[in-house]
Amino acid sequence: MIRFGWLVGLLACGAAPEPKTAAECGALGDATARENCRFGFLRPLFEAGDVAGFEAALAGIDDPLARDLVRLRLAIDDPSRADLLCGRVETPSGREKCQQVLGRPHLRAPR
Amino acid sequence: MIGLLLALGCGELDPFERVPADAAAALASCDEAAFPELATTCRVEAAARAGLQGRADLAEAACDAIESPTWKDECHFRAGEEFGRTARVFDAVRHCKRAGNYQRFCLTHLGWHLPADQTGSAGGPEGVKAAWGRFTREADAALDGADAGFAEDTRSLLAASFGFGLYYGSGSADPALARAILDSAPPDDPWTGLLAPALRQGFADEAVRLRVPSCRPQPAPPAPKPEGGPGGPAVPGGAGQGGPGGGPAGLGGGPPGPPPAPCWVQPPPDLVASVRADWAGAGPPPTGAALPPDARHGRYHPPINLLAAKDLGVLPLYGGDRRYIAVDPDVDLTVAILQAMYFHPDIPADAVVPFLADPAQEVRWAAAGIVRTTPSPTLDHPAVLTKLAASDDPGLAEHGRSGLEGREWTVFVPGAPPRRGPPPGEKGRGPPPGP
Repeated sequence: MIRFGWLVGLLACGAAPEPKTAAECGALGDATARENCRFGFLRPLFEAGDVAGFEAALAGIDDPLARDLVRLRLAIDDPSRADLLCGRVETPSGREKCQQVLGRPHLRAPR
Repeated sequence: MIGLLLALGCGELDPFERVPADAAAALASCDEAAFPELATTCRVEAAARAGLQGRADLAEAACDAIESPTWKDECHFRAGEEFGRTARVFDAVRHCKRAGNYQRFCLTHLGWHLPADQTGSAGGPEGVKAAWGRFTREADAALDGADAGFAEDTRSLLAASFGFGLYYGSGSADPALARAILDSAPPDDPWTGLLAPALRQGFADEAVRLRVPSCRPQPAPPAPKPEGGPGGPAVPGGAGQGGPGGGPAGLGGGPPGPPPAPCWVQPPPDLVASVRADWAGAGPPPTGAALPPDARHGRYHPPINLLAAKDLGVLPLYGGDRRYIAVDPDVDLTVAILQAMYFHPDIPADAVVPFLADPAQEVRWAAAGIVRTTPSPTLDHPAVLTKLAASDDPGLAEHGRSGLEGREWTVFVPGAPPRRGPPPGEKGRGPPPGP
Protein backbone atom coordinates (compact mmCIF):
# COMPACT_ATOMS: atom_id res chain seq x y z
CA MET A 1 0.00 0.00 0.00
CA ILE A 2 2.73 2.44 0.98
CA ARG A 3 4.72 1.71 -2.19
CA PHE A 4 1.78 2.74 -4.29
CA GLY A 5 0.47 5.49 -1.98
CA TRP A 6 2.09 8.24 -4.03
CA LEU A 7 0.35 6.93 -7.10
CA VAL A 8 -3.00 6.91 -5.34
CA GLY A 9 -2.51 10.53 -4.29
CA LEU A 10 -1.38 11.59 -7.73
CA LEU A 11 -4.28 9.93 -9.44
CA ALA A 12 -6.77 11.27 -6.87
CA CYS A 13 -5.55 14.87 -7.27
CA GLY A 14 -5.65 14.99 -10.99
CA ALA A 15 -8.24 12.45 -11.97
CA ALA A 16 -11.60 14.30 -11.48
CA PRO A 17 -13.75 14.65 -14.61
CA GLU A 18 -14.26 18.14 -16.11
CA PRO A 19 -16.69 19.97 -13.77
CA LYS A 20 -19.94 21.09 -15.27
CA THR A 21 -21.18 23.13 -12.28
CA ALA A 22 -19.62 25.16 -9.54
CA ALA A 23 -20.45 22.43 -7.06
CA GLU A 24 -18.53 19.88 -9.13
CA CYS A 25 -15.43 22.04 -8.92
CA GLY A 26 -15.16 20.88 -5.34
CA ALA A 27 -13.91 17.54 -6.62
CA LEU A 28 -10.74 19.12 -7.96
CA GLY A 29 -7.85 18.39 -5.70
CA ASP A 30 -5.59 21.29 -6.52
CA ALA A 31 -6.73 24.30 -4.48
CA THR A 32 -5.93 26.92 -7.10
CA ALA A 33 -7.59 24.99 -9.89
CA ARG A 34 -10.60 24.35 -7.67
CA GLU A 35 -11.10 28.02 -6.84
CA ASN A 36 -10.51 29.18 -10.39
CA CYS A 37 -13.07 26.64 -11.52
CA ARG A 38 -15.64 27.93 -9.06
CA PHE A 39 -14.91 31.51 -10.01
CA GLY A 40 -15.34 30.64 -13.66
CA PHE A 41 -18.92 29.54 -12.97
CA LEU A 42 -19.88 32.19 -10.43
CA ARG A 43 -18.52 35.29 -12.11
CA PRO A 44 -20.85 35.18 -15.15
CA LEU A 45 -23.84 34.78 -12.83
CA PHE A 46 -22.83 37.84 -10.84
CA GLU A 47 -22.01 39.93 -13.88
CA ALA A 48 -25.34 39.01 -15.47
CA GLY A 49 -27.13 40.28 -12.37
CA ASP A 50 -28.48 36.83 -11.54
CA VAL A 51 -28.37 37.41 -7.82
CA ALA A 52 -30.42 34.35 -6.90
CA GLY A 53 -28.37 32.07 -9.13
CA PHE A 54 -25.16 33.55 -7.81
CA GLU A 55 -26.13 33.18 -4.17
CA ALA A 56 -27.38 29.64 -4.71
CA ALA A 57 -24.17 28.61 -6.42
CA LEU A 58 -22.11 30.31 -3.72
CA ALA A 59 -24.08 28.50 -1.02
CA GLY A 60 -23.02 25.25 -2.67
CA ILE A 61 -19.43 25.93 -1.61
CA ASP A 62 -18.83 24.40 1.82
CA ASP A 63 -15.81 26.41 2.88
CA PRO A 64 -16.58 30.02 4.06
CA LEU A 65 -13.04 31.06 3.16
CA ALA A 66 -13.66 29.89 -0.40
CA ARG A 67 -16.95 31.76 -0.52
CA ASP A 68 -15.18 34.90 0.66
CA LEU A 69 -12.51 34.40 -1.96
CA VAL A 70 -15.15 34.57 -4.69
CA ARG A 71 -16.62 37.73 -3.15
CA LEU A 72 -13.21 39.38 -2.82
CA ARG A 73 -12.15 38.56 -6.35
CA LEU A 74 -15.35 40.10 -7.70
CA ALA A 75 -15.02 43.15 -5.44
CA ILE A 76 -11.45 43.76 -6.56
CA ASP A 77 -12.40 43.27 -10.18
CA ASP A 78 -15.15 45.89 -9.86
CA PRO A 79 -14.81 48.02 -6.74
CA SER A 80 -18.13 49.75 -7.46
CA ARG A 81 -19.78 46.49 -6.32
CA ALA A 82 -17.66 46.15 -3.20
CA ASP A 83 -20.35 47.33 -0.79
CA LEU A 84 -22.68 44.59 -1.96
CA LEU A 85 -20.05 41.86 -1.89
CA CYS A 86 -18.03 42.82 1.16
CA GLY A 87 -21.19 43.25 3.18
CA ARG A 88 -21.63 39.47 3.04
CA VAL A 89 -18.07 38.43 3.80
CA GLU A 90 -17.95 35.83 6.57
CA THR A 91 -14.37 35.37 7.73
CA PRO A 92 -12.10 37.75 9.67
CA SER A 93 -9.36 37.52 7.05
CA GLY A 94 -11.89 38.19 4.31
CA ARG A 95 -13.18 41.25 6.17
CA GLU A 96 -9.64 42.51 6.62
CA LYS A 97 -8.94 42.10 2.92
CA CYS A 98 -12.19 43.86 2.05
CA GLN A 99 -11.00 46.94 3.91
CA GLN A 100 -8.47 47.49 1.17
CA VAL A 101 -11.42 48.29 -1.07
CA LEU A 102 -14.03 49.57 1.38
CA GLY A 103 -11.55 51.84 3.10
CA ARG A 104 -10.90 53.71 -0.15
CA PRO A 105 -14.25 55.20 -1.17
CA HIS A 106 -12.82 56.83 -4.29
CA LEU A 107 -12.33 53.33 -5.76
CA ARG A 108 -16.08 52.88 -5.81
CA ALA A 109 -16.77 56.08 -7.74
CA PRO A 110 -17.46 55.71 -11.48
CA ARG A 111 -14.45 56.39 -13.70
CA MET B 1 -2.69 7.31 4.77
CA ILE B 2 -4.57 7.97 1.56
CA GLY B 3 -6.15 11.00 3.15
CA LEU B 4 -2.75 12.34 4.12
CA LEU B 5 -1.43 11.80 0.63
CA LEU B 6 -4.45 13.53 -0.78
CA ALA B 7 -4.03 16.50 1.53
CA LEU B 8 -0.32 16.87 0.86
CA GLY B 9 -0.70 16.41 -2.85
CA CYS B 10 -3.70 18.66 -3.28
CA GLY B 11 -2.93 21.67 -1.08
CA GLU B 12 -5.05 23.73 1.31
CA LEU B 13 -6.55 27.15 0.59
CA ASP B 14 -4.90 30.19 2.19
CA PRO B 15 -5.84 33.07 -0.09
CA PHE B 16 -5.65 35.96 2.36
CA GLU B 17 -2.14 35.48 3.63
CA ARG B 18 -0.79 38.78 4.95
CA VAL B 19 1.68 40.67 2.83
CA PRO B 20 5.17 40.78 4.46
CA ALA B 21 6.09 44.04 6.13
CA ASP B 22 9.35 44.41 4.20
CA ALA B 23 8.66 46.02 0.83
CA ALA B 24 11.00 43.77 -1.16
CA ALA B 25 9.60 40.63 0.43
CA ALA B 26 6.09 41.95 -0.10
CA LEU B 27 6.65 42.51 -3.80
CA ALA B 28 8.22 39.08 -4.23
CA SER B 29 5.25 37.47 -2.48
CA CYS B 30 2.85 39.11 -4.94
CA ASP B 31 4.36 37.13 -7.80
CA GLU B 32 3.45 33.97 -5.88
CA ALA B 33 -0.18 34.95 -5.35
CA ALA B 34 -2.44 32.22 -6.65
CA PHE B 35 -5.14 34.53 -8.04
CA PRO B 36 -4.62 37.59 -10.24
CA GLU B 37 -7.01 39.82 -8.27
CA LEU B 38 -5.16 39.17 -5.03
CA ALA B 39 -1.85 39.69 -6.81
CA THR B 40 -3.15 43.14 -7.76
CA THR B 41 -4.08 44.20 -4.26
CA CYS B 42 -0.84 42.65 -3.01
CA ARG B 43 1.12 44.90 -5.36
CA VAL B 44 -0.77 47.95 -4.13
CA GLU B 45 0.13 47.07 -0.55
CA ALA B 46 3.72 46.42 -1.55
CA ALA B 47 3.88 49.84 -3.22
CA ALA B 48 2.56 51.47 -0.05
CA ARG B 49 5.20 49.69 2.02
CA ALA B 50 7.83 50.74 -0.49
CA GLY B 51 6.71 54.36 -0.10
CA LEU B 52 6.90 54.17 3.68
CA GLN B 53 10.35 52.56 3.46
CA GLY B 54 11.68 54.98 0.88
CA ARG B 55 12.10 52.37 -1.85
CA ALA B 56 11.23 54.27 -5.01
CA ASP B 57 12.46 51.40 -7.20
CA LEU B 58 10.12 48.88 -5.60
CA ALA B 59 7.10 51.21 -5.67
CA GLU B 60 7.68 51.75 -9.38
CA ALA B 61 8.00 48.02 -10.05
CA ALA B 62 4.89 47.20 -8.03
CA CYS B 63 2.66 49.66 -9.86
CA ASP B 64 4.11 48.85 -13.30
CA ALA B 65 3.13 45.21 -12.79
CA ILE B 66 -0.58 46.04 -12.41
CA GLU B 67 -2.71 45.90 -15.55
CA SER B 68 -6.07 47.15 -14.27
CA PRO B 69 -6.25 50.94 -14.88
CA THR B 70 -8.22 51.51 -11.66
CA TRP B 71 -5.78 49.61 -9.52
CA LYS B 72 -2.75 51.03 -11.27
CA ASP B 73 -4.00 54.53 -10.42
CA GLU B 74 -4.71 53.39 -6.87
CA CYS B 75 -1.21 51.92 -6.60
CA HIS B 76 0.37 55.25 -7.55
CA PHE B 77 -2.01 57.03 -5.16
CA ARG B 78 -1.00 54.78 -2.25
CA ALA B 79 2.67 55.07 -3.04
CA GLY B 80 2.32 58.86 -3.32
CA GLU B 81 0.53 59.00 0.02
CA GLU B 82 3.23 57.08 1.81
CA PHE B 83 6.10 58.97 0.23
CA GLY B 84 4.29 62.19 1.17
CA ARG B 85 3.77 60.96 4.73
CA THR B 86 7.50 60.52 5.12
CA ALA B 87 8.31 63.88 3.48
CA ARG B 88 9.84 62.28 0.37
CA VAL B 89 8.02 64.93 -1.53
CA PHE B 90 9.41 64.46 -5.02
CA ASP B 91 8.91 60.71 -5.01
CA ALA B 92 5.35 61.48 -3.93
CA VAL B 93 4.94 63.89 -6.85
CA ARG B 94 6.21 61.30 -9.31
CA HIS B 95 3.56 58.87 -8.17
CA CYS B 96 0.71 61.33 -7.78
CA LYS B 97 1.42 62.42 -11.36
CA ARG B 98 0.58 58.90 -12.48
CA ALA B 99 -2.46 58.40 -10.25
CA GLY B 100 -4.89 59.22 -13.05
CA ASN B 101 -8.33 59.99 -11.63
CA TYR B 102 -6.86 60.10 -8.15
CA GLN B 103 -4.18 62.70 -8.86
CA ARG B 104 -5.86 65.48 -6.89
CA PHE B 105 -6.64 63.23 -3.93
CA CYS B 106 -3.03 62.12 -3.91
CA LEU B 107 -1.80 65.72 -3.78
CA THR B 108 -3.58 66.42 -0.51
CA HIS B 109 -1.17 64.01 1.16
CA LEU B 110 2.00 65.70 0.02
CA GLY B 111 4.01 66.49 3.09
CA TRP B 112 3.42 69.67 5.01
CA HIS B 113 6.35 68.84 7.19
CA LEU B 114 9.35 69.41 5.01
CA PRO B 115 12.58 68.67 6.83
CA ALA B 116 14.58 71.74 7.81
CA ASP B 117 17.41 70.75 5.50
CA GLN B 118 14.99 70.91 2.57
CA THR B 119 14.13 74.56 3.30
CA GLY B 120 17.72 75.47 4.14
CA SER B 121 16.77 77.66 7.09
CA ALA B 122 19.84 76.61 9.08
CA GLY B 123 21.98 78.38 6.48
CA GLY B 124 20.29 81.78 6.84
CA PRO B 125 19.16 83.77 3.79
CA GLU B 126 21.79 82.30 1.46
CA GLY B 127 20.98 78.79 2.63
CA VAL B 128 17.27 79.35 2.01
CA LYS B 129 17.93 80.76 -1.44
CA ALA B 130 20.04 77.75 -2.40
CA ALA B 131 17.48 75.36 -0.95
CA TRP B 132 14.68 76.98 -2.90
CA GLY B 133 16.66 76.60 -6.12
CA ARG B 134 17.22 72.88 -5.43
CA PHE B 135 13.60 72.45 -4.40
CA THR B 136 12.18 73.90 -7.60
CA ARG B 137 14.62 72.02 -9.82
CA GLU B 138 13.73 68.72 -8.19
CA ALA B 139 10.03 69.52 -8.36
CA ASP B 140 10.25 70.44 -12.05
CA ALA B 141 12.05 67.17 -12.75
CA ALA B 142 9.42 65.21 -10.87
CA LEU B 143 6.67 67.03 -12.80
CA ASP B 144 8.19 66.26 -16.18
CA GLY B 145 5.44 64.95 -18.43
CA ALA B 146 2.62 65.91 -16.08
CA ASP B 147 -0.49 67.55 -17.50
CA ALA B 148 -0.55 71.31 -17.10
CA GLY B 149 -3.36 71.43 -14.54
CA PHE B 150 -1.73 68.90 -12.27
CA ALA B 151 1.63 70.63 -12.60
CA GLU B 152 0.13 73.99 -11.63
CA ASP B 153 -1.72 72.54 -8.64
CA THR B 154 1.40 70.72 -7.50
CA ARG B 155 3.64 73.78 -7.76
CA SER B 156 1.06 75.75 -5.79
CA LEU B 157 0.95 73.12 -3.07
CA LEU B 158 4.72 72.72 -2.95
CA ALA B 159 5.28 76.46 -2.73
CA ALA B 160 2.77 76.66 0.13
CA SER B 161 4.44 73.73 1.82
CA PHE B 162 7.86 75.35 1.45
CA GLY B 163 6.65 78.62 2.94
CA PHE B 164 5.01 76.78 5.82
CA GLY B 165 8.02 74.56 6.41
CA LEU B 166 10.44 77.46 6.27
CA TYR B 167 8.78 79.30 9.10
CA TYR B 168 6.11 77.56 11.12
CA GLY B 169 7.35 76.12 14.38
CA SER B 170 10.92 77.22 13.68
CA GLY B 171 11.00 79.69 16.52
CA SER B 172 11.83 82.63 14.27
CA ALA B 173 9.84 84.90 11.97
CA ASP B 174 12.73 86.54 10.17
CA PRO B 175 11.56 88.21 6.96
CA ALA B 176 15.11 88.17 5.60
CA LEU B 177 14.67 84.49 4.73
CA ALA B 178 11.69 85.22 2.52
CA ARG B 179 13.30 88.30 1.00
CA ALA B 180 16.36 86.27 0.02
CA ILE B 181 14.19 84.27 -2.35
CA LEU B 182 11.73 86.95 -3.41
CA ASP B 183 14.37 89.49 -4.31
CA SER B 184 16.08 87.08 -6.69
CA ALA B 185 13.07 85.28 -8.15
CA PRO B 186 12.95 85.60 -11.95
CA PRO B 187 9.68 87.31 -12.94
CA ASP B 188 8.99 84.85 -15.76
CA ASP B 189 9.53 81.73 -13.64
CA PRO B 190 6.35 79.64 -13.14
CA TRP B 191 7.12 79.50 -9.44
CA THR B 192 7.46 83.20 -8.82
CA GLY B 193 3.76 84.09 -8.69
CA LEU B 194 3.13 81.25 -6.24
CA LEU B 195 6.01 82.02 -3.98
CA ALA B 196 5.21 85.41 -2.49
CA PRO B 197 1.81 84.54 -0.97
CA ALA B 198 3.23 81.23 0.29
CA LEU B 199 6.10 82.96 2.07
CA ARG B 200 3.81 85.65 3.48
CA GLN B 201 1.56 82.95 4.86
CA GLY B 202 4.31 80.87 6.46
CA PHE B 203 5.84 84.00 7.94
CA ALA B 204 2.50 85.21 9.30
CA ASP B 205 1.69 81.80 10.82
CA GLU B 206 4.91 81.84 12.80
CA ALA B 207 4.86 85.53 13.70
CA VAL B 208 1.34 85.21 15.14
CA ARG B 209 2.32 82.06 17.02
CA LEU B 210 5.31 83.80 18.55
CA ARG B 211 3.45 87.02 19.36
CA VAL B 212 0.40 85.28 20.86
CA PRO B 213 1.58 82.64 23.33
CA SER B 214 -0.74 79.69 23.57
CA CYS B 215 -2.76 79.10 26.71
CA ARG B 216 -2.26 75.33 26.35
CA PRO B 217 0.71 73.36 27.66
CA GLN B 218 3.29 73.40 24.92
CA PRO B 219 5.52 70.48 23.94
CA ALA B 220 9.22 70.74 24.63
CA PRO B 221 11.23 72.23 21.78
CA PRO B 222 13.16 69.73 19.68
CA ALA B 223 16.65 68.82 20.86
CA PRO B 224 19.39 70.25 18.67
CA LYS B 225 20.67 67.75 16.10
CA PRO B 226 24.24 66.47 16.50
CA GLU B 227 26.67 67.55 13.77
CA GLY B 228 26.43 65.34 10.69
CA GLY B 229 23.28 63.66 11.90
CA PRO B 230 20.60 62.48 9.51
CA GLY B 231 18.66 65.27 7.87
CA GLY B 232 14.98 65.77 8.50
CA PRO B 233 12.64 65.06 11.37
CA ALA B 234 10.96 61.70 11.86
CA VAL B 235 7.39 61.97 10.66
CA PRO B 236 5.04 59.58 12.46
CA GLY B 237 3.38 57.05 10.21
CA GLY B 238 -0.11 55.70 10.46
CA ALA B 239 -2.79 53.70 8.66
CA GLY B 240 -3.00 54.90 5.12
CA GLN B 241 -6.62 55.63 4.58
CA GLY B 242 -6.84 58.68 2.47
CA GLY B 243 -9.38 60.51 0.38
CA PRO B 244 -10.31 63.86 -0.93
CA GLY B 245 -9.92 66.77 1.29
CA GLY B 246 -8.07 64.76 3.83
CA GLY B 247 -5.90 66.55 6.33
CA PRO B 248 -2.21 66.01 6.60
CA ALA B 249 -1.36 62.44 7.27
CA GLY B 250 0.82 61.16 10.00
CA LEU B 251 -0.08 63.71 12.63
CA GLY B 252 -0.49 63.28 16.34
CA GLY B 253 1.97 63.31 19.19
CA GLY B 254 0.70 60.10 20.80
CA PRO B 255 -2.49 58.28 21.69
CA PRO B 256 -5.50 60.60 21.88
CA GLY B 257 -6.73 61.47 25.33
CA PRO B 258 -9.75 63.40 26.51
CA PRO B 259 -9.90 66.76 24.76
CA PRO B 260 -8.31 69.49 26.85
CA ALA B 261 -10.66 72.18 28.06
CA PRO B 262 -10.76 74.99 25.49
CA CYS B 263 -8.88 78.10 26.39
CA TRP B 264 -8.92 81.41 24.64
CA VAL B 265 -6.38 84.12 24.14
CA GLN B 266 -7.39 87.57 23.02
CA PRO B 267 -4.53 88.86 20.92
CA PRO B 268 -3.35 92.44 21.33
CA PRO B 269 -5.53 94.79 19.24
CA ASP B 270 -2.50 95.90 17.23
CA LEU B 271 -1.45 92.35 16.32
CA VAL B 272 -2.01 92.80 12.59
CA ALA B 273 -0.07 96.07 12.57
CA SER B 274 2.75 94.48 14.57
CA VAL B 275 3.12 91.54 12.23
CA ARG B 276 3.05 93.88 9.25
CA ALA B 277 5.90 95.79 10.86
CA ASP B 278 7.75 92.50 11.43
CA TRP B 279 7.47 91.72 7.72
CA ALA B 280 8.78 95.16 6.86
CA GLY B 281 11.79 94.51 9.07
CA ALA B 282 10.92 97.40 11.37
CA GLY B 283 12.59 95.81 14.35
CA PRO B 284 14.24 92.58 15.43
CA PRO B 285 12.23 89.60 14.16
CA PRO B 286 10.04 87.78 16.67
CA THR B 287 11.71 84.74 18.16
CA GLY B 288 10.68 82.12 20.68
CA ALA B 289 10.58 78.42 21.41
CA ALA B 290 10.51 76.12 18.41
CA LEU B 291 7.94 73.36 18.13
CA PRO B 292 8.86 69.71 17.65
CA PRO B 293 8.00 68.56 14.12
CA ASP B 294 4.98 66.50 15.12
CA ALA B 295 3.44 69.49 16.90
CA ARG B 296 3.62 71.83 13.91
CA HIS B 297 -0.07 72.03 13.16
CA GLY B 298 -3.07 74.21 13.92
CA ARG B 299 -6.71 74.83 13.23
CA TYR B 300 -8.07 73.90 9.82
CA HIS B 301 -11.34 73.10 8.10
CA PRO B 302 -12.44 71.65 4.78
CA PRO B 303 -12.26 74.02 1.79
CA ILE B 304 -15.01 76.59 1.38
CA ASN B 305 -15.67 77.91 -2.12
CA LEU B 306 -16.67 81.55 -2.34
CA LEU B 307 -18.39 82.38 -5.62
CA ALA B 308 -17.66 86.06 -5.18
CA ALA B 309 -13.94 85.30 -5.15
CA LYS B 310 -13.90 83.00 -8.16
CA ASP B 311 -11.49 85.19 -10.12
CA LEU B 312 -8.87 85.28 -7.39
CA GLY B 313 -5.91 82.96 -7.18
CA VAL B 314 -5.83 80.46 -4.33
CA LEU B 315 -3.13 79.38 -1.93
CA PRO B 316 -3.35 75.87 -0.47
CA LEU B 317 -3.31 75.78 3.29
CA TYR B 318 -2.31 73.24 5.86
CA GLY B 319 -5.16 70.75 6.36
CA GLY B 320 -6.56 70.85 2.84
CA ASP B 321 -8.17 74.27 3.07
CA ARG B 322 -7.18 77.19 0.86
CA ARG B 323 -7.35 80.94 1.00
CA TYR B 324 -7.79 83.51 -1.72
CA ILE B 325 -4.81 85.58 -2.78
CA ALA B 326 -5.30 89.33 -2.88
CA VAL B 327 -3.93 90.99 -6.00
CA ASP B 328 -2.29 93.78 -3.98
CA PRO B 329 0.64 92.28 -2.00
CA ASP B 330 0.04 94.67 0.85
CA VAL B 331 -3.58 93.57 1.16
CA ASP B 332 -2.50 89.95 0.80
CA LEU B 333 -0.22 90.33 3.79
CA THR B 334 -3.21 91.34 5.92
CA VAL B 335 -5.19 88.37 4.60
CA ALA B 336 -2.26 86.11 5.52
CA ILE B 337 -2.17 87.50 9.03
CA LEU B 338 -5.90 86.99 9.53
CA GLN B 339 -5.51 83.43 8.27
CA ALA B 340 -2.68 82.95 10.76
CA MET B 341 -5.00 84.13 13.53
CA TYR B 342 -7.43 81.41 12.49
CA PHE B 343 -4.63 78.84 12.38
CA HIS B 344 -3.77 79.66 16.01
CA PRO B 345 -6.17 77.36 17.89
CA ASP B 346 -6.60 79.66 20.90
CA ILE B 347 -7.63 82.87 19.13
CA PRO B 348 -11.42 83.27 19.08
CA ALA B 349 -13.53 84.65 16.24
CA ASP B 350 -13.92 88.02 17.96
CA ALA B 351 -10.37 88.98 17.08
CA VAL B 352 -11.11 89.27 13.34
CA VAL B 353 -14.55 90.93 13.60
CA PRO B 354 -13.12 94.46 13.18
CA PHE B 355 -11.83 93.41 9.74
CA LEU B 356 -15.36 92.76 8.46
CA ALA B 357 -15.40 96.48 7.70
CA ASP B 358 -11.95 96.70 6.08
CA PRO B 359 -11.69 98.83 2.93
CA ALA B 360 -10.24 95.87 0.98
CA GLN B 361 -12.79 93.26 -0.09
CA GLU B 362 -10.33 90.37 0.15
CA VAL B 363 -9.70 91.26 3.80
CA ARG B 364 -13.45 91.53 4.51
CA TRP B 365 -14.08 88.18 2.86
CA ALA B 366 -11.23 86.51 4.68
CA ALA B 367 -12.54 87.85 7.99
CA ALA B 368 -16.06 86.63 7.23
CA GLY B 369 -14.80 83.17 6.34
CA ILE B 370 -12.90 83.03 9.60
CA VAL B 371 -15.81 84.29 11.72
CA ARG B 372 -18.00 81.67 10.12
CA THR B 373 -15.72 78.78 11.04
CA THR B 374 -14.16 79.90 14.31
CA PRO B 375 -15.59 79.36 17.76
CA SER B 376 -15.79 81.99 20.45
CA PRO B 377 -16.95 81.96 24.05
CA THR B 378 -18.61 85.35 23.71
CA LEU B 379 -19.46 86.19 20.10
CA ASP B 380 -23.09 85.97 19.04
CA HIS B 381 -22.40 84.12 15.81
CA PRO B 382 -25.97 83.97 14.53
CA ALA B 383 -26.38 87.72 14.97
CA VAL B 384 -23.11 88.49 13.20
CA LEU B 385 -23.85 86.06 10.38
CA THR B 386 -27.39 87.41 9.96
CA LYS B 387 -26.00 90.89 9.57
CA LEU B 388 -23.46 89.66 7.01
CA ALA B 389 -26.14 87.83 5.06
CA ALA B 390 -27.97 91.13 4.59
CA SER B 391 -24.84 92.95 3.32
CA ASP B 392 -24.56 94.52 -0.12
CA ASP B 393 -21.10 93.01 -0.38
CA PRO B 394 -21.61 89.72 -2.28
CA GLY B 395 -18.77 87.93 -0.51
CA LEU B 396 -19.98 88.90 2.95
CA ALA B 397 -23.55 87.98 2.05
CA GLU B 398 -22.46 84.61 0.73
CA HIS B 399 -20.47 83.82 3.89
CA GLY B 400 -23.33 85.01 6.05
CA ARG B 401 -25.98 82.89 4.33
CA SER B 402 -23.84 79.77 4.17
CA GLY B 403 -22.67 80.29 7.70
CA LEU B 404 -26.22 80.40 9.00
CA GLU B 405 -27.05 77.18 7.16
CA GLY B 406 -24.17 75.24 8.61
CA ARG B 407 -21.05 76.20 10.45
CA GLU B 408 -18.41 73.54 10.18
CA TRP B 409 -15.08 73.69 11.81
CA THR B 410 -12.40 71.23 12.81
CA VAL B 411 -9.94 72.01 15.50
CA PHE B 412 -6.83 69.94 15.80
CA VAL B 413 -5.34 70.27 19.25
CA PRO B 414 -2.06 68.53 20.10
CA GLY B 415 -2.55 65.27 21.93
CA ALA B 416 -6.31 65.10 21.39
CA PRO B 417 -8.61 63.91 18.61
CA PRO B 418 -9.95 66.60 16.28
CA ARG B 419 -13.04 68.43 17.54
CA ARG B 420 -15.76 69.05 15.02
CA GLY B 421 -19.05 70.87 14.77
CA PRO B 422 -20.43 74.07 16.20
CA PRO B 423 -18.75 75.29 19.36
CA PRO B 424 -20.29 74.25 22.67
CA GLY B 425 -22.51 76.81 24.30
CA GLU B 426 -23.26 78.68 21.10
CA LYS B 427 -26.41 80.71 21.31
CA GLY B 428 -29.40 79.52 19.26
CA ARG B 429 -29.20 80.11 15.53
CA GLY B 430 -31.24 82.97 14.18
CA PRO B 431 -33.66 82.49 11.25
CA PRO B 432 -32.16 82.80 7.77
CA PRO B 433 -32.59 86.26 6.21
CA GLY B 434 -35.75 86.85 4.20
CA PRO B 435 -35.79 87.03 0.37
